[in-house]
Amino acid sequence: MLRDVWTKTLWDQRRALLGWLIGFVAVAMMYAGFFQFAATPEYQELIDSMPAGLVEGFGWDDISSPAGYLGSTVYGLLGSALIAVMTIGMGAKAIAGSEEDGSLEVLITMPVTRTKVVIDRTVALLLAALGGGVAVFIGVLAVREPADIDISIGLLAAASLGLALLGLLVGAFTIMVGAFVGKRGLVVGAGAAFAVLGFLVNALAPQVEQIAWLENLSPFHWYDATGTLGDGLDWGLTLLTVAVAVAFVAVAVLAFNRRDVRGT
Amino acid sequence: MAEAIVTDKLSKSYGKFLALDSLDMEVRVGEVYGFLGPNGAGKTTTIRLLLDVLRPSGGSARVLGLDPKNDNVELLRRIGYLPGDFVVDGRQSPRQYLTYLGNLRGGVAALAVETLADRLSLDLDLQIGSLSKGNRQKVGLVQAFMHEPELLVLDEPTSGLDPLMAREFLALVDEAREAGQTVFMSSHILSEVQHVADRAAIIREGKLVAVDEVEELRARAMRRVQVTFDRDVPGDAFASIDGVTDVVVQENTLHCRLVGNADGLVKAASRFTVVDFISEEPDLEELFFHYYEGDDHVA
Repeated sequence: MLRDVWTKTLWDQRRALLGWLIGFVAVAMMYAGFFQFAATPEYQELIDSMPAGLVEGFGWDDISSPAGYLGSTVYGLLGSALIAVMTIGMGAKAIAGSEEDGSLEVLITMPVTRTKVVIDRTVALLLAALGGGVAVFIGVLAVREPADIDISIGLLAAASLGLALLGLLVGAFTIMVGAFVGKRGLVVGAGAAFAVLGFLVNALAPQVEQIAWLENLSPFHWYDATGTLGDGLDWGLTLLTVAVAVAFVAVAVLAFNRRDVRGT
Repeated sequence: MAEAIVTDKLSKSYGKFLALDSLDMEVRVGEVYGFLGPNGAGKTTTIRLLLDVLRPSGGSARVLGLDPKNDNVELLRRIGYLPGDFVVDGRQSPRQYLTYLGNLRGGVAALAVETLADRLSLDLDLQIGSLSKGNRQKVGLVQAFMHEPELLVLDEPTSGLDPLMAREFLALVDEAREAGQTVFMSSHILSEVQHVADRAAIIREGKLVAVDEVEELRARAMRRVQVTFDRDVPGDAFASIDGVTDVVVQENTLHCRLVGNADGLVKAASRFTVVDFISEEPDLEELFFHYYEGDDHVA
């Protein structure tokens, strides 16, 4: 694990990452296991009594179907928020955090390019996000039969991959901001703003006709877990997600190569 | 290539603040070069420019004949660098960390790390987070020396080291010179570099003030001396001694400034019973001040 920058990055964060993985499995099991209680007429009545905008915003309109339920819980707000918090944390640490604590100076004065530092830390983040996706997948899979979740393993895997890529995208954005400004607090804020704004646009824009098109700009719209759990991944939007993440990293490389690295 | 480092009007500004102002400096291959200046003078800025951590606002630098930015990786392979503020994640042992850095350098013999750690009395297997500041500094020194680089760039290398370890460090520097390595080290204390450095530069407020043989700098260095006697002494007893100025005698205590050789002052003082003799570190601020004022003031 001490051979390269990306392995060392994962190794240094192994405890936190292990905690995240356990958390993902636990949350997935708990919420997916709860499905049998959500698929009841009483629960549907409760949802029906809520304001339509709220229900639609959180994607609860189809909560009694397995895809609608998982898409609005495990793979919905909860799952995306969790994976975003994880990748925003990692992304902020990648450049800004290490720069602010002073340890980046040693790394960039080793015979490795700054480009490699950015890419390796992105690879570590990608692997962590994929790990999160796998953990969610395992958690849901574990309770799939007892909780009566009638979704194929392939579709669960597809939604888990989609979740991981959403995490990658948010993390890549955070890395990019860090490549411009070496202030961790600011970078975390920017990453969080990006995620929250993306979520809100996806949740609220469709409810106002004049700005409904805005949802097409939101990574959460591209992600669309409920749709994936029903029909599989939309490869075009999946590719778009990856492409935008790659573009963020490319900008990060350019920006980081241009600027001064601040010391402590 | 006779120069390890050459800078040509190297400058760095932050907004209106000029951190480094047109630095022209040459460090010869194989010499130990002291880079002296008070804190905030621009030493760390200069060093970071040489390593491409910072980018110059003007001028240029060549290090080992290479461009710090365009030949970055090739250059860094041949340099050992100790940052002025050496920071490492504390949740690992020095051995793990040094192995990692060694791998980034394409592999460094474990024996080299062991030998250096032994000499500096550094335990390689404790968590870095549990180490004292001085011991962390040793980790930084080991990583700078371990691959026997052509050029060592050391920013305040003795900070945090106890006197015994500081001496061991100076021995390492001596050996590096004997092995043909070039050493560029900064300090804010003249006495720290005077035993090992061949030449030294003094920098102040971003400007190079003086470059000279260390012996020459030391001869011109001015220090404050305070001598306490067992009884009151007459003021005129210390009036005209070589190198002694600003004599003030208060009852049984003499305050003065001394430049160069202390012999005259010691002999004058020895006519009385000396209770205490305090000679302060030469103050760099005053050192170059006198350097500028010229010989008439000194002699």
